Amino acid sequence: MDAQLKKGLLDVCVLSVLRREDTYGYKITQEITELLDTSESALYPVLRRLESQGLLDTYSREYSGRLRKYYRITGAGISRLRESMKELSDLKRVIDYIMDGDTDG
Amino acid sequence: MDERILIFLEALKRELKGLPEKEIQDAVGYYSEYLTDSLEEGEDLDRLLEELGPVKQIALSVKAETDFNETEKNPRLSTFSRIFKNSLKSIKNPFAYLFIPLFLLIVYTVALCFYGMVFVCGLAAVLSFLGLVYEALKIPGKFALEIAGTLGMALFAAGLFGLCAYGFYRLAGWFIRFSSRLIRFIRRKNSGIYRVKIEAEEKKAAAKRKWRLKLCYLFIILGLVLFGFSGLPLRLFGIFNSQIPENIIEHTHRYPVTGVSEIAIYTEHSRVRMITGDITSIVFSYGQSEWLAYDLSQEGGVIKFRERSNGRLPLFPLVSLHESLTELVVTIPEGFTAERIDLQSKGGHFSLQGTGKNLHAKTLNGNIDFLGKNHLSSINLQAQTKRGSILIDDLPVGSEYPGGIRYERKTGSGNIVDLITTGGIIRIY
Repeated sequence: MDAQLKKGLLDVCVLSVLRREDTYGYKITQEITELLDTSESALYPVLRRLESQGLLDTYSREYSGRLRKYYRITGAGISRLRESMKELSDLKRVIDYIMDGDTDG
Repeated sequence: MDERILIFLEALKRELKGLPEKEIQDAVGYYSEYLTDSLEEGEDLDRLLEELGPVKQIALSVKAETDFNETEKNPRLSTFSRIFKNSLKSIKNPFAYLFIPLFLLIVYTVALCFYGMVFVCGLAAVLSFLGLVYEALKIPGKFALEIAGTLGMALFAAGLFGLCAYGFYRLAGWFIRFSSRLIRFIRRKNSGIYRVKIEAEEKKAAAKRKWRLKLCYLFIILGLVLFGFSGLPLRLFGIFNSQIPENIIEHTHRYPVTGVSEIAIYTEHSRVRMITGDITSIVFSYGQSEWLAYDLSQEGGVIKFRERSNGRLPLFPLVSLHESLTELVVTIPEGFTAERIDLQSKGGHFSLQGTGKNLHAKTLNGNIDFLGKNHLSSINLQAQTKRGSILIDDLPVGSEYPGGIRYERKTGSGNIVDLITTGGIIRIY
C-alpha cells in the first residue's frame, strides 16, 4: 500500500482499535500490523501525538506484578473517529465504483 | 529483564538526550513494556529488535513528535530549529535543498522581527510608565488633579505598549506554530495543517492569556479614567489651542544699582527685552504664566533671574508652545555698566537695546535683535547662528563655517558682545 495513504490511515486505525476496548502498546501494534504493513516502531509517535491532541488518554493497571500502560479513547477521539469514518465512507464509494468497473470490464 | 532489552533501552535513552525527562521516561517506558509484553507472548527478541529498526531512527521520530507537540503548546524558535534540523535528516528530495535555506531565512527573519517588536514595545511600556510617573512626582502637591492625570497617562501608556508587546508575542507564536505545521504537513506526519482543539488545554492557555490581557486592559481603562477625570486633557487642549497664555500675573522688582556688577538671566519660554531708562534702579518686570515660576535673587554683586517650570505641566521640556509669548523686561539705568550680563533662554527671543557692554546672549529657538549698530565701532562683536542668518539693517552679513554662519567684528576694545542662537535670526539695527 502507498506509504502516505498508510500514514493517514494509522491514526484512524489506532482510534478504532481503542474504540473496541482499552488496550496496551503491544496489543495495539499487533492489531495494526495485521491490518497495515507498517514498521513496529512507527506506532509510539502516533500514540504520543494522539495523546497530546487529547484524542486518547492513558492509565496504568497492574498486570502480573508490573504496571502496564493502557490506552483509552476520549470523547474528542470518538468524534474525530466519526469524522474520519465519514470521509472514508465517501472514499469507499469511489473505491466501490473502481472495483465495479474492474469486475464488469 | 533480558540483557538485550536493557542494552536497547540504554541506547534509546542516550539517543533521546536533550528531551524533557518526562518524554524520555515515557518513550523508554513504552518500549520496555512493549518488549516485555512481546517476550511474554513468546516472540523472538532478536527478530523483534531487528523489526524495530535502528535505535537512532526510533529516537528521531520520538524527538520530532515531541517537538511538534511542544510547538503546538508553546511555540519557541529554539524548538522550531530542532524540528527543522530533524526534518532535514529525513529529506531525500534534492530539490528540497534549494528551498530549505530560503524557508529557514524567512521564518527566522519574520520571527526575530516579531520578537524584536515585543522587546521594543515592552521597553516602551516600562520607560513611558517610569518616565510619566517621574513627571507626576515632580508636580507640586497642590496640583492634585494634574498628578492624577499624569499617573493616568502613565498607566495608559504602559497598558497600550504592553498590549502591543503581547500582540507581537502572540503573532510570533502563531507564525512559528504555522511554520512547524507546514513542515509537518510537508512530511505528511499528519493529515493537515490543522489541529484538533483540546478543550481543557485551550481553556488553560486562554486563562493564562487572559490575565495578561486583563492587566493591559485594566491599565488602559484605569489610565483613561484617571486622565479624563483629572481634567488634564481639557487643560492640555486649552494650552495647545490658545494663542496667548492666560491668567498672566505681573511682577515687578527693583534693585539699586550700587554694588551690582553682574546680571544673569535664564528663561525657559519668555522673551527677554533689555532697555535703558531714565531711572536709578534696575527694574525686572515679569509676566508670569500659569505653568512657569521664577527665582530672583541678589547675591553679592550678582543679580540672578531664573525662570522654571512650576511643575504643573507634565513633560514640560517637550512643550515649546507659548514660547516668547510671555516677557521679562529688564530696565537698566542709562549710563550703568555691568561687568557682565548673561542672557540665556531655551525658547525666547531677545531684544537688546542700549550700549550693551559685556553682553553674552545665547538662545536656542529665539531670534536676537540687537539695537546697537551705532556702537559697533566700540565693541568686539561676535555673532553666530546655526540655522538662521545674521542681518545688519536687513542685509545679510557673516561667513559660513561648519556650524552655520558667523559674523565677527574686532575693534580691540574691551567691550565684548556675544550673540549666539541655534535656530533664530540675529538682527543688528
